[in-house]
Amino acid sequence: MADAALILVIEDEIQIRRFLRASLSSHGFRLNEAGTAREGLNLAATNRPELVLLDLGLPDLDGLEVTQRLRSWSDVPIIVLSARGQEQDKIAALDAGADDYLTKPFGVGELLARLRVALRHAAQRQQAETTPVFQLDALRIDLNNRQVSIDGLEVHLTPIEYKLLSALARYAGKVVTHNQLLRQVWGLGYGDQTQYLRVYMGQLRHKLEVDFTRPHYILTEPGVGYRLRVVD
Amino acid sequence: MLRMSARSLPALPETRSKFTLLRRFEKRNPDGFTRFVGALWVLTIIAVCTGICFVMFPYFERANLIMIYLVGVVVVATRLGQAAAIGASVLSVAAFDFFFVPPYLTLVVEDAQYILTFFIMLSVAIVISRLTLVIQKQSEETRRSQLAVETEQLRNAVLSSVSHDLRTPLAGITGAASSLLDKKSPLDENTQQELLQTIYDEAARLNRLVTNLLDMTRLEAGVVEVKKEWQPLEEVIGTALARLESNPVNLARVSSIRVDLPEDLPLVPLDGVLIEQVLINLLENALKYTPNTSAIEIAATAQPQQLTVSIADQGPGVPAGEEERIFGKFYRATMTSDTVSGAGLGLAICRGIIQAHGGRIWVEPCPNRASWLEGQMEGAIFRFTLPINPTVRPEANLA
Repeated sequence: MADAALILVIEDEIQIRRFLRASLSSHGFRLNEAGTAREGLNLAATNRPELVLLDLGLPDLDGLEVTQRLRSWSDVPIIVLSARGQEQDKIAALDAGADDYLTKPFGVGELLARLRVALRHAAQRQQAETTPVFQLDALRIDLNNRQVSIDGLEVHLTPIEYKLLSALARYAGKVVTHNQLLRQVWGLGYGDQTQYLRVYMGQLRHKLEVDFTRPHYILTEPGVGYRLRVVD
Repeated sequence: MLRMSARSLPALPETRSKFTLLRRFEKRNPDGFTRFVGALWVLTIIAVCTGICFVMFPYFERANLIMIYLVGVVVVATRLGQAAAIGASVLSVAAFDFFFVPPYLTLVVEDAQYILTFFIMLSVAIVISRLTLVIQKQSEETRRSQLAVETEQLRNAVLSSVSHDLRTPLAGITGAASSLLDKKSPLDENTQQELLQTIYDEAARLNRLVTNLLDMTRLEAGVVEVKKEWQPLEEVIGTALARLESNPVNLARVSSIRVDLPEDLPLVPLDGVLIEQVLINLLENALKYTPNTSAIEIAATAQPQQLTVSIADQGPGVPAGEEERIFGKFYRATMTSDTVSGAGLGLAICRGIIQAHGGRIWVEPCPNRASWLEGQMEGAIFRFTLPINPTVRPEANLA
């Protein structure tokens, strides 16, 4: 599936493009490159890439705008590339529909892991199939039967805890922002009440993790949201 | 003590309302408030002079009484400026005339010589306040030029330190890359791998340094926005440990760090990204300055008004007398050998971030292991506090 997938890189820094070209083509991806947002949007429309790597510091349009324009007609997975200090832009792009992010400087391992998760989710979406069972190490989440177990022993979760965990499991491996989780679990009016989220996430971790200060399953993305770990 | 006085406050509603009234005045019109306070001082000083004169009146000549007022005017002129001094001299002549010159308790003057008194008083007031102003200006200029010299010296020290710290990894990268690019003398695979590792490591070091420099600059410029959100401390500790563990060099030691948190630790308002940085800097310091075998422990305790977080290590500790200076910019412990790299910004950044949260950060010797031989203590505990305002604590029972 991942073989020969077409990736569109929208990035104005030549050095970063060179690095992405070298590492992605050696892993069997095809590449389109754009140095500006407009060029990138044109290429996205004509070549229909399977994934977009979008830099947030483009000279002509900001990342949020590009994400919104792409999302207006396409479900293509978007991974934003951000520098430190662009946290707000990053969160805005994720809330506007970008799938994941990478903070510069990043290594090739991280890049490939994010790419694979995003491509896998896109493929599942196209076949309208969701994995009914999520399994990682001792943790098993059965979305059909609403059952969560650790080492085969069922874990009793409150309805809210289960909603949180299942929201993360549906997007396993992908970052889910605070805002997205709050809306999915509590509803539209609670988009900024992050303390609810924190309290329940803490409870969930106490029930699932061996050491809640070193979470193994539910990872924190500081200032952004949470991510359920997947095996790569 | 603090808690007790805070509790007794509501019992005194009147004083509190008066204070709030003054506070509001001070906030709305700070210039007017200063003038108001100045005027109160002038009135008080002249009243005191008048009181003294009443005591002296039966025993001394009038000319001596005016000397008392003169002292009052001089005090006002040196402390409160020209306008206040002129006001004070007018007031003193009026008070002198009213109380001590016949006909008493009127402002009528029988003897024209007191007009002379008034003018002398006025000129003394003006001269003294002018002189004070000149002296103040001069001392300020001296201070400013001293400061300029010190800033210049500091800037040079900083520049040489930073450029050294920036150049070292750059030299490593340039050297390694140029050897790899050199086609004339091909390298064996091991050496190639080693050089590539050097490039990677040095780039990571450069990244840390640049990040620190930028953080410090942004903190100093006051452009760092502290986005406080109520959250459990364990979450921030978790992300800090995860970030440290992502560096394979640290992995073994970081996983041996003990975390000792009470189960019922309350939520605290903090900026997760910034406090994570504080924890990382403190833990990196502990890793850097302590031997590989020694233990590191993170602990926290909650008081009603604040949360205290501590990070204890068993390293060489902080030299006595340096406990405050280590939080300064570009400070490197005097005993630091060249094997320990860093620009000396980590703790300065910690202090900047904690202060931006309204908290405090300091270092203590490890209580059980203090050995003051050679001015060193064994082990150090870095502690910082984060204030909690219990009245605005959000309730989170929305199940």
